[in-house]
Amino acid sequence: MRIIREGKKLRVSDLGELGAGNCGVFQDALTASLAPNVTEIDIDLSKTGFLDCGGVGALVSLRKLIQRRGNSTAIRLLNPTSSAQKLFQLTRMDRLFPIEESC
Amino acid sequence: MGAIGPNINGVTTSQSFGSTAERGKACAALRLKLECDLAAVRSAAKEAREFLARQGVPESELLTCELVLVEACNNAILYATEREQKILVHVSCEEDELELQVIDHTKGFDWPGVVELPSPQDEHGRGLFIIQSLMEEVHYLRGSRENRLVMKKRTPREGSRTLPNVSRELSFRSEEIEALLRCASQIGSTQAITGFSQSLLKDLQLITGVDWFVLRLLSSDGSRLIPANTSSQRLKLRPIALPPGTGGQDFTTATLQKRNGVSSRFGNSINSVERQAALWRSDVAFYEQSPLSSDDPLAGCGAKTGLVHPIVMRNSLLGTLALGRNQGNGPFTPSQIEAIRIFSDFLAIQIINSRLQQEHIESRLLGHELEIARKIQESLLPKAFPSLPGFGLAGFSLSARQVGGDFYDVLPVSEDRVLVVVADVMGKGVPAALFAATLRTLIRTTAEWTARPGELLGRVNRLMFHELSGVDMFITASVALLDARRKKLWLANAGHCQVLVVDKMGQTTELNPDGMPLGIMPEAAFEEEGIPLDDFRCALFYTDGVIESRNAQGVFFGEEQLKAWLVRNARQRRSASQISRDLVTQISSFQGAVPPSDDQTFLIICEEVRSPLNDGANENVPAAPNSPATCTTPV
Repeated sequence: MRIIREGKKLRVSDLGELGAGNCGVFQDALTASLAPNVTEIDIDLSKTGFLDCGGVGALVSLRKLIQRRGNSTAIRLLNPTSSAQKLFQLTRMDRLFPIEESC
Repeated sequence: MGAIGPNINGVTTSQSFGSTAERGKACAALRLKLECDLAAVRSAAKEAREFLARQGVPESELLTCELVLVEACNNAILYATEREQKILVHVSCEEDELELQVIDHTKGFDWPGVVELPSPQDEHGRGLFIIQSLMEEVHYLRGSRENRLVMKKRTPREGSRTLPNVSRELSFRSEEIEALLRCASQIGSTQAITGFSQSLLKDLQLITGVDWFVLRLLSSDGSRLIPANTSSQRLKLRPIALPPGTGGQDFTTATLQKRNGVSSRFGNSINSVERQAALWRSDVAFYEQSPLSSDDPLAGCGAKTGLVHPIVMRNSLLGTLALGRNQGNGPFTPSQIEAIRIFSDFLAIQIINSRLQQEHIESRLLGHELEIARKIQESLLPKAFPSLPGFGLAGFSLSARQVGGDFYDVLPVSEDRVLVVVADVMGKGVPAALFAATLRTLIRTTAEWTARPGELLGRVNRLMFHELSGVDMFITASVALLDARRKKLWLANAGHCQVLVVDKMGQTTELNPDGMPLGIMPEAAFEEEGIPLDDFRCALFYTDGVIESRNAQGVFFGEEQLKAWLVRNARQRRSASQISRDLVTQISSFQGAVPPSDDQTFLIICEEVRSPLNDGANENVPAAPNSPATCTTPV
C-alpha cells in the first residue's frame, strides 16, 4: 500500500486487497498520514483485486473519523474493479462515497 | 478417490471426484480445514477459487464464491470461542450447480428472519446480507456439535451438456409442483388439521425421501409443544415445555440473544432439537457428525439424519416439524430443505385457517346462546301490570349487552295493593343476569311471606348474603308497596338511587330511606318511608344507567335533567305508558349514536283516570330493537 501526500490531498494506491484481514493495517496507516490540513482523500482501487465487507467497514470507519475531525474532508473511491463496484452497489456504499473512473 | 494436499498457511486440503448419490451427476469436491484465523480464511478462499476455476466455472462466479466464502468464514471466526477447533469448508461442483459449505464448531448464531443491511454508519454486519444476495439458496443449520452454512448457486457453463440435466431437473420439479398444487387445493377446506398434515407429509415424504415426521403444535397458552401428528407409532411423545414468551409475536433477536446467554446449548434440562428449533426459530439439523443427544425424545425413532423446522407465521411460532431419514448420511440438501420450508408454510396457513374457523363457529354458537338468554330475560319482565284503581304503571328495561343485571318487577299483593321492585345487580352481562334472575325469584317468594318493603329487603338480604359476598358482588334495589285503597306508598331502599315523586302542584320530593346494598352485611335493617298519595301525580324509579347515560360530548344525562323532564311530563295529563315512551325518546335522542354503557331501567307510577282514550292496559314498554338505544355489542 502506498500513501502519497500532495498538499491538501492524500492519495492511497497499490492496495492489493482491502478485507477483514488487513483493514486494521489500512486504518492505522491512514490515520497516521492524516495531517490536519488534508481535505481530500483519493483511494485508487485499480489494483485492489479483493474487497470484502470488512474492507467496506474500514471505509465506513474512515468516513466517521473524518466526520469527527469536522473540516469537511472529501473521500473519493477511484477506479474500482467491477467486482468491487458490484459490492459497493450491494452494500449501498455508492450512495455514501463518490466513485469515479480516472485515467 | 481423493488426494490430500499439504498444510499451507493453516489450510489442509483434500480433493475428491465422483458422483453424488442424488441424481447420479458427476461432481468434484474440495474439502478444506482451516485455523480460525483471517489469513487462513484468505488462503482457503483462494484455493477454493482455483479449484472452481479448474472445473470451468466462469470468472464472475469465481469472484462471487471467493467473496461469499470469506464472508462466511469471517463470520464463523467472529463467534469462535475456542480457537483450536478448525473450520471446515466444502466446495462441490456439478455441471451447472455449485455448493459451498462452511462448517464451524462454535455456539452458532441466530440467522435473522429477514436479513437487512445495517445503517450506513455501522462498520459491521453486512456479511450475511452479501451472502444472501449473491447465492441462490442459503441455509444455516445448527446441530448439536457443529453448525453448517450451506450456500448454493446455479452456474451455466460454456460447453456443458445442459439438456439432460434440465430435463432431469424438470421432472423432479414437476413432481414437487404437483404436490404443492395438491396442498394448495386443500387449503381452506374444512378438513381437520390432522388430515391435512397427514396428506401433506405423505407428499413431503415422496419428494424429500423422509421416513418419518413429528408435527408439534404450540399450545394455546404458548407454554408447550404438543405432539399433533406423527408417522412413527414407536415414539412415546410427551409435550415439551417452553419458556414463557417463546411463541409470541414480539419475538426479537434481542430476546433470543438474552435467552441464549442464560441457557447454554448443552446445559438445558432437556436436550431436544425440537425445543431448540422453537427457541432459536431456526432450522436445527442432526446427522452423523452432529447427532441427537441421548435424552432427546426423537432419539427413539432410529433416524440417522433429520431436520427440525420451526413453523412460523407472521413472526409467531405455531409449532415444529421434525423430519428424518433412516438411511443416507449427511444432512438434507438445500433443495430438500427448500421443499420442507414451502410445505411448512402451507401447513402454517392451514393451521391458522382451521383455528379461525373454529373460533368463528364458537363465536356464532355463543352469539346464538346469548340471544336465547336475552329472550328468556325479556320474558321474565312483567308482560302486563295488574290494574289498580286510580293508578297506572309502566316500565322499561334495556341491557347494555344481550343480557344484563337490571330489572324491574310488579307483583300483585291483593286487589288494591301492588309491590313494585327496581333492582340493579353490580356488573353487566351474564354474571349480573344470573344474579338478577335469582333475586327476582327470591323477591317473589318472600313477597308471599311479607309485603312490607323493609322486612322484605331484610329477608332477601339474609338469604342472598352468602352467595353475593362469596363473589364480592352486591345488589341495589328499591322496593315500594302501593296501597291504592289507603292511598299510601311505602318505600324501602337498599343503596339504590332515590325515587322521584311529583305532586299535583308540580313539587318534587326525593325519597331516599336508609339502607345499604344487598350483600354487604349478613344482617341489615332497611328503613321504611311512607308518603300519602292524596296529591300524588307521578313517581319515577330508575337505575343509575339512566342518569349516567352519556352523549357524544361526554355529558351525563344527570339527575337535574331527569327531574326537570319528570316535572314537565307530570304537568300534562298523560298516562304512565305515554310518559314512559317519552322518557325512552328523551334518553335515546340525548345519547344519539353513543350506545349505552350500562343497563338502563325505570318504572313509572302515575295517578291515572281511566278514559276511553286510555285503553287501560298498562304496557310494558319493551326495548325496541330498531331504536338507537338498543345495543347489541357481543360480550
